[in-house]
Amino acid sequence: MEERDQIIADLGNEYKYGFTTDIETETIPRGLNEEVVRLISQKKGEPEWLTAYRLKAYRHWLTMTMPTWAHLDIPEIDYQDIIYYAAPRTKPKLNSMDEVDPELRRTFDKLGIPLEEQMALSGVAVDAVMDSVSVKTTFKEVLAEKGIIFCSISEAVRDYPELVRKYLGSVVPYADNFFTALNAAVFSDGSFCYIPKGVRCPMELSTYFRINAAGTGQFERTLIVADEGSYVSYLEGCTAPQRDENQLHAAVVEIVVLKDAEVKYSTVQNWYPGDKEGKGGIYNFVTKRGICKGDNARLSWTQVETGSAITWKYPSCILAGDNSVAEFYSVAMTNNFQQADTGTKMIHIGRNTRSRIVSKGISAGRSQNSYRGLVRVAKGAENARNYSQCDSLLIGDRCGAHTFPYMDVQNPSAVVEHEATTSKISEEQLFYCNQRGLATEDAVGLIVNGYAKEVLSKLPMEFAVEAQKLLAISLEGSVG
Amino acid sequence: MPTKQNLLDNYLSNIDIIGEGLPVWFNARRSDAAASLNLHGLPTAKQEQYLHSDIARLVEGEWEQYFVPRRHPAPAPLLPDAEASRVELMNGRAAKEGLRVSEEGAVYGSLRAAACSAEYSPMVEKWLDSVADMGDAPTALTRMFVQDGAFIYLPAGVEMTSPILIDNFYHADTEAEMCFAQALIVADEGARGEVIVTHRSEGEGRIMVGFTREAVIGSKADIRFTELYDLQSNCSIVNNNYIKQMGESHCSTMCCKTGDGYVRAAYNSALTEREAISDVWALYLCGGEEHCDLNLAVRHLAPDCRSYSLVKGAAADMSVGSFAGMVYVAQDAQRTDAQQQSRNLLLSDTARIYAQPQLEIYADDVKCTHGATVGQLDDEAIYYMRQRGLSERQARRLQIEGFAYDVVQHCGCENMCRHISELTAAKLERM
Repeated sequence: MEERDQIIADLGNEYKYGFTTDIETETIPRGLNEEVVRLISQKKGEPEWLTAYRLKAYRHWLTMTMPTWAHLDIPEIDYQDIIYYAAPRTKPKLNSMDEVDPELRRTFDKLGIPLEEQMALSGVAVDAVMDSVSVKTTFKEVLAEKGIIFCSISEAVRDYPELVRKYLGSVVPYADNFFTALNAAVFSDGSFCYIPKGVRCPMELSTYFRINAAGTGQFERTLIVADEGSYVSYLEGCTAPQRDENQLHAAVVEIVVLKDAEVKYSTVQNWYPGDKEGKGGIYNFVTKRGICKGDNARLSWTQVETGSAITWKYPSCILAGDNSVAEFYSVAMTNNFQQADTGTKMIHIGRNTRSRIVSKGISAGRSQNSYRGLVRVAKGAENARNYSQCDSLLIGDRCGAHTFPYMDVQNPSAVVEHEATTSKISEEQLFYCNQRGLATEDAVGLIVNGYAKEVLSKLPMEFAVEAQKLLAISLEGSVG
Repeated sequence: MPTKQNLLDNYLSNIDIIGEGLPVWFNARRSDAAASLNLHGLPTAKQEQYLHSDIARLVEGEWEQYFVPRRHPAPAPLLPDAEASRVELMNGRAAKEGLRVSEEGAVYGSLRAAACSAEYSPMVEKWLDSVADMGDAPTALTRMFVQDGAFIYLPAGVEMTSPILIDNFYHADTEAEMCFAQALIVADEGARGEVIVTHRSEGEGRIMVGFTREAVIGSKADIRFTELYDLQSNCSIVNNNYIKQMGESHCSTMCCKTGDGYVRAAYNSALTEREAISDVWALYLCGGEEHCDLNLAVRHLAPDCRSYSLVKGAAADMSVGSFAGMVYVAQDAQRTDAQQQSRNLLLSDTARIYAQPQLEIYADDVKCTHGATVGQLDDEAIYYMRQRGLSERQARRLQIEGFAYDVVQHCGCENMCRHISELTAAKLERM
């Protein structure tokens, strides 16, 4: 026991990536009103229909209230005290890495993001989002050869308005919830990805988001469209610098999977979780949803959530096409005063649809970790099949692990199963590792990684390594 | 006028008649309940706990309420052959006045009599409303109007050899009637016994029943509850059960919905001291346009407690079956062992099943598992039975009967067990 106390005392688990970069940013006044919405739209040089869309969303947002049903304790957010737009002042019109602001490049270097040659070697095209405006997009030419569009959403609005107009808001309508309405009104940037018919994307597409300017919420909008018979694996990873002030993050991700297409979406989320006293940290209120629109479509979400002070996130799948398949793999890890309410929704509409949910929650310190999921089988969804498994691991006696699954079945041919267990790391396991010379801390890291393996193995290689490290880092200071 | 206001007005204008002949403290708590109802309002489907039971809609419309005892044709006794101590309630009023004492020393009878008796009034005053949650609107509504009910007291060490039967009978000739009843069961240290609660109905008129049952199970006591909902389709019940268990006590509940009426039942157990054990088995069978909503909550508030629950249900035709379970483990409740299972059969295109097995855990040294499935009958098993000469219908029935048996077998009283099996078979015939 003494040893444990010592470990707790020793661990000054400071946020490893907690630094800020001084780049001049152009911001607009705090607060939100129609003028601000128009201003954002104007600054981005958007067409009229999009301005109108934003305004409609804003007006709808005014009629809504923040949802309170989640198992979260959210301090009141003053939406008028947020800067809704920030762009690096140097106009990012760059053709090569040399033109990128050295400060900015140093930030990426500190993060260990190999934006240059390493990037080419690892075969990842990155659309790096640095506070709302895309700074640099790589591999565009390679992708262009295949007809793949991978660019920032603002560029897409400019260059491919008909595609954006067709799909924007088609999966997540602005009226869906409080945060989607807010996002639709003020979204500043994000990624757009279109894979044409029958094309297999030759590399993994990746976007690194990074919140930088103090007091600016980031409202990205991501739209991925996989046309018939295509395939893409999309990665999203996040790290953020240390801030005292809470930062709001309300992103929307929409994925459209057409007939015979497949999309794999992987996330590692490691935003600043606040300090050990629960001060600061990012509020992550994200709406992610994909639709398997055509027959035989496949969609898979994999997420590793270790960051953010508060996470409110339910990546969902609508299985509309016959024989479509959806998967959701999640590791959600909370420590100190973090709170997470995350899970998924599987809406079975088409015939012979299948879905699988594997959720692993790990809570340590004084954190609260909830799984909340819905499986709905609509009347016409013949032979729908769902299997859900959600396990919770508790480390320490001050944390909470909760499970709130919802099942709603209307078709008699459906088979829906849900299983959940809650447990802690057993003394025996720890003892075994200790005996073999592992420090308790390392042993916990090892056991947790083993516990989460089923999910981690679904991540692309380079991400899996990062995720494993993250889990161990996030766990520091939690043993006892 | 909104339903809530109607009810409150009705309460205020009849306040003298409702409380007539009851102690001051008993009536004082009504006004607390009324205040609580006024504050919370009737739950609609927007409230998480009542997601699948719109109580506001259920009590909507014109209802008669009678605050003076009325004459009704006496029902045929339930389980006439069984040896049992009986408390018979007609629309919430005890048929026989006064309290009786069984051979073994258990006290049973009308709640009203107990509240008024010099001997038991302090006990009723102490425990009544102590376990129930007045923040729950239907519980508050029942408390507001309740005039009678059942009272059972098992003194320390009493071991019952035969069950105590609370037989609730509801009757409305032609008009729509609302009635309320409350039951209090107090088992002292080391007492053992079985309590059977049944709900039956008759008559042409619509009936809406508000029922609250509270049980306080002393340390090392062992109490078995069996509850049967055998209501006609024009009778709806909102039943809230609250059980408080002390150290090393054991309480098991088996409940069955075999009738055709609307059932919304909540079973809340609080394990307040070490090594308490709670078991719940529940079965619902729904056909036609029936609705059954079962809510199970076990609160582990002390270390080393154990809970197990199994809920099985089948929904056919256009019925709706809903199950919500919650296992709550408080921070100090280390070494909790909780299991929650829900098995559901969806038997038609138009039926609907909701399942919500939930966990809320604040302690780390716990073993909590829950599982829920929704599926259908096993085709292979049916094929096997058909090969052996059973008709398709017989085979299906046999399989559902087997499915139900896992729950039904947990009834302690043999006569009751047979009765439930018969009702189950009859229900399956109707489904």
